[in-house]
Formats: sequence, structure tokens, C-alpha cells
Amino acid sequence: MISACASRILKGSLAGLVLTMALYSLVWAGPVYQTRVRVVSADNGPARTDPGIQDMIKEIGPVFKYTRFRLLSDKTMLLPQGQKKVMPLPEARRLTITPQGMQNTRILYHLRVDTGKSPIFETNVGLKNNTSITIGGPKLQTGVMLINIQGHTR
Amino acid sequence: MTCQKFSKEMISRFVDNELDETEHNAFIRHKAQCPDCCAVEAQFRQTDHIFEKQAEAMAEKLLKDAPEIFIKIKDRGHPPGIRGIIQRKVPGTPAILGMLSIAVVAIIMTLAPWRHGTLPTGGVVPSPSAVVNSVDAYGSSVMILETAETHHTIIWFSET
Repeated sequence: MISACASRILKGSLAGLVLTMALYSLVWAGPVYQTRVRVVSADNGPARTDPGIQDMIKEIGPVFKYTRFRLLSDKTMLLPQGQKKVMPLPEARRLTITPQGMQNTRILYHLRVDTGKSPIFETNVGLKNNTSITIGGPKLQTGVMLINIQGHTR
Repeated sequence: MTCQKFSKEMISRFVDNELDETEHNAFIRHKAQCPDCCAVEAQFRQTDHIFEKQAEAMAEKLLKDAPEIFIKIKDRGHPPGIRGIIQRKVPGTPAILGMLSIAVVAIIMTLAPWRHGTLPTGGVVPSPSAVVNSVDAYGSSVMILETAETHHTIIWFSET
């Protein structure tokens, strides 16, 4: 009888603790930024745009002289403020993305492209919520690499 | 530079036509009697000229309709002056030397409707999808572009 009662109290306490921790993490975890990264190869091969990047190429395709756009990778992740995310890029390069908070309605990102040993490119940008920025230029076989970064937060 | 009356940032903004009328006229009066400020202004103008030439060459290689695009030095929505965007690699290095030593070109190009150098009349000009607060391309040339219709920001660096 006593042991059943103690067991109920213990279970109740555990449930309470779990609930408290869940509420605590919801309140104190800080903002999380949904970040989508698409890596695209652009070159002068036969005209073609892969599905999955048509929205992006509609925006930037008319600007550049390239004719063929191929999607190499598409990844969406949830990044808490200040958390670095390192992503592999073609040709032994990598991209490091760090959301750094908000400035008015813009998400501040630090973006870095490197080879693992030496940096190639680094920038700090303020990205309007639900929009994207494209970084282009790293050489890739016969063309170049385009990196499209989209940010979203509530 | 020994003159303390106008900072390099103010002179940079003067060169970019970003000062208001009062500040603009004050600098014109001041530089008439200040060789230091004249020298800084000349350096900035020379750098802009170099940047423009490099940007034109880069744009010609990369962009459609490159000869027709309007190269817009004045940066809209970004921190004051192109020089503010370029990260200085060596603390204490004068901005102009820092910029030249890292061979960075940062030009904001807005493709039409500024194509012919005129701003659209009326209405609010939409802001770019991303503002660039700093950029370091470790010796490569950089262009910052903004598309006309969607105001999508593109940072392009020419890997060396």
C-alpha cells in the first residue's frame, strides 16, 4: 500500500519535472532560425534548370551569362542563435553558417567559405525574414558554384 | 591625416554624394583651405575609379547586358559608404591602403530601373533582401548586386 503510494508520488514528480523542463526550454531556449541552403552549379552547358531551384533561377538567372543550373544539394535546418553549422561544399570546400540574432526585421548571419585550412570568403549580412541571399563565384569544374541561403524566423 | 575636422568616413560619404546639403557645403568650404582633406578626397576618388574599372571588367565577363547596367556606387540600405563594408584585415591600416592591399572591389550594382541612372519617381523604394555589413574575400574581387524586380541580393567573388 505504502509502496504503491510512493510509486505514484515518484511518477507524478517525474512527470512534473519533465513538464517543467519542457516549459523552461521553450521559454529560455532563445530564437531558432530555419535556414535553407541550396548549392547550385552554374555553367554554359545545354540550357536547363533543375526542378527545386526554379524560383531562385527566375530571380538571378536573367542576370548572369550562364545557361545551365543544376541543384547539387538542398538542406533545411533549425539553427539556434550563435550555433555554427558547417556544411560540406563541392571541391573540398565548406560553408559555415552562424545565425547571430535579429536586427529589426533582419536575421544577422555570419557566412564563411573555406577549404578547412584557409578562408576564401567571409561576410556578415542582415537577411530580411523569409528572403534569401545568393553567394556566387567559387570555381566548379567548367562553371561556378552558387550558394543560396534562405532564412526564416517567427 | 592630421585634420580632425572631418573624419575619413565623412569624406568618403562626400565622395559618394551621401552628405546632406549643409554638410556637403561645409566640406566644400573646408577643403578649400585644408590640403589634408583634399589629399584624402583625391585618394578616395582614385580608389573609386580603380574599383569602377575592375568592376566593369568583372561585370563584362559575368553579366548579361553588362555595358548597359548602371553601376551604382551609392549603397542603399547598407552601412555608410562602400568603405564601411570592406573589412580591414590589419587593424590600424588606413582604410584606403587596406582596401587596395586586399584588392577587393565592392560595388553595388542595381540592375534596372536604375539602368539609365535615374531613380523611379514616387513610391517607396523597396529594401534589398540582404544588407551586407562586411565582406572579406581574402584577395579576390567582390561585387554586390541587387536584382531589379525582387531586390534579391547577390554577393559575387571572383576566386583567385
